[in-house]
Amino acid sequence: MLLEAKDIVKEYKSTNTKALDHVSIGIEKGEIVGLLGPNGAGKSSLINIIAGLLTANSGDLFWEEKKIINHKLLSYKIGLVPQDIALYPKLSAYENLNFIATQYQIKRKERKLRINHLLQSLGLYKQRNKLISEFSGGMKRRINLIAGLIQQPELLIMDEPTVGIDIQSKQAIQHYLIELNKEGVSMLYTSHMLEEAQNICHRVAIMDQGKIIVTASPGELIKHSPEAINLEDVFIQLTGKELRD
Amino acid sequence: MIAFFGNIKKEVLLLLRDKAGLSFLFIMPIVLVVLMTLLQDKTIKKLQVEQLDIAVVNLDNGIVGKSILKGLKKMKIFHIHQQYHGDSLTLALAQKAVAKGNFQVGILIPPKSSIYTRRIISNEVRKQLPTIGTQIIPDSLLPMVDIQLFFDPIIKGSLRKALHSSLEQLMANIRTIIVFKSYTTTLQKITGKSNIGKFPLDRFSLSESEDLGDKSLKIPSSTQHNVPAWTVFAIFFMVIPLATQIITEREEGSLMRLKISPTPYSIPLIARICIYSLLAVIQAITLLLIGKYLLPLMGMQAFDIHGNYISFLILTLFIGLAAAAFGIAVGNIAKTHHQASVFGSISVVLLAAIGGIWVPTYMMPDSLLKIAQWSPLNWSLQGYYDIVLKADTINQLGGIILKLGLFFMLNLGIAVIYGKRKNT
Repeated sequence: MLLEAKDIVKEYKSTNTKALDHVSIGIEKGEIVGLLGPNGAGKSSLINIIAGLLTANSGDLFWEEKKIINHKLLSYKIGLVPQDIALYPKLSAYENLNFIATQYQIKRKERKLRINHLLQSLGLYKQRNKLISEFSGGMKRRINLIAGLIQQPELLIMDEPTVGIDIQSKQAIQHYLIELNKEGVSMLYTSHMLEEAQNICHRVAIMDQGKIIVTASPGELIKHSPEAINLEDVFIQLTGKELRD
Repeated sequence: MIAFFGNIKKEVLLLLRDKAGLSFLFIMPIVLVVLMTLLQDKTIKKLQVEQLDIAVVNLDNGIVGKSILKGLKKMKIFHIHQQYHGDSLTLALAQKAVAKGNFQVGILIPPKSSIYTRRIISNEVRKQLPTIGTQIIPDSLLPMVDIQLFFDPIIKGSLRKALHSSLEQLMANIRTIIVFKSYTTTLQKITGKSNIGKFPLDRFSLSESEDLGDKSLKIPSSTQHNVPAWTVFAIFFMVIPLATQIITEREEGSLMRLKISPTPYSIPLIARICIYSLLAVIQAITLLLIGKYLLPLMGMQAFDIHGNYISFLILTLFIGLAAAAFGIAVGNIAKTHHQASVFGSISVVLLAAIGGIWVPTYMMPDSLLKIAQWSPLNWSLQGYYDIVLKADTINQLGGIILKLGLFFMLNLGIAVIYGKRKNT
């Protein structure tokens, strides 16, 4: 197991809510795991704890069977693509990526090589000197993804990486993620795009009300759910039709 | 070091691309320095006067008028005028000229002041040493000798008091001479001896030793006040763009990238403090050059720091550190841009007002002076005053630098505590 979260509990005292209620999940090397669930299910809390942005009230994290004590030591191994465009709008794409790369102590020559390679891979090389504020939504999402890959992580955690973008950008990102996975990068990925999850995930975990209800491959889930023809049907059967706003 | 220089580059780029923030930090203080120096120049010059221009309307032809004029001329602090635009001064003309600000003070010595003074004193002498054939007049029938003073309203209380006591002293001298004369004349009549001497007034003197080194009461000129004052204000105004940038980083998620990177949080913090402290030095040098070269072209006094460039730069660096830490604290305490800009601007303006930036502290009442001592802008301004007015070196600015250093540490501590709270 590359990464394992065991019995994670997270409570927010300010709102008196239990976001994660004894959640356990594992990601194998080379696996793409989709974390699906309605709004408020606890997906973002879980990935923020795994990425080291939040502290769990209880529970443990393991990296290759070893307990994670200092998250900073895993910074090189775990990449995060947050839901927000976590970039400086007044810096160009290259300046943003160069700054992020310096935070991983990557030397100048290597930085240049990696950034240019990633920009080319996601079709943004020509726009590298444009300010982020001048980018379209899809372009920003692609730069956001590159920023999470700059340190060449073994595990890429993504929080809705394709939300609010056009089909072309979505497809470009999906294709790139599949290519990346072929190179050995494992992924933990949250999305409301169930079709997308069905296409690229080896395994999905459906969460609701702070708990993981089920974990299986998309095919198995559809196969074992009566009257379900796709992952969306399975999702509705498991989480219900009630609105979660 | 790669991470540190990465942060330095990022901060420089963000600062250079924040045109509104830069104009706040550079154009606003330049305009304020020029404008306020010009506006306050005349007023401060009046407060600074070491020689008062006095319009004297002398309607007395005797010893009183002559002695007052002679006595005032003898004192180096008064410049006596008895004419205005070629015309002899009348009471109306003198009042008009003082109201216009051409003279700071007007003095009216009424007609027959000498005759009346003599009459009053002789009457007193007669009471003490009655001689045959003389008549004592009741006090209620004696005339009044009323020398009138009128001031330009801008003249400070201390200068008014100085003139009052000078005149009192002159009048006392005149009275002493007349009293002596009256007694000797009367005694001569009584004793028949003719031995009228002169009162040895010149045997009594008041001498003044040199200043003992405390130059704290020296009043700065308009340039000496406004250039450092608006420099301090401009440096502390960095609180607003700095706090806003911290909130933007937090809201837009770029702070998250710093948190998940292996770089310790102290590195971006130190880089930010370095850049903003350097910015403070650039602001101060810019305003120093404006004071030194632009203000003289506009007829103002040139700003001079007596070659104490090292002291000036070190003090500025500490002011920059204090301001940067304050901005970082505001950015960590505030939850929104609105909160940061409102709290940042109000706090800086208030600290500037009580710190003697808008109105110099020597014009403040004592109660406000006590409050002013709590403003870091006041410490900073006092530091610059010490360099400009006393030509103090960095060794003599230790107290101020210590205060600014403590303010820096305190704010940094607050920023770290609030930052950690927001992260959990």
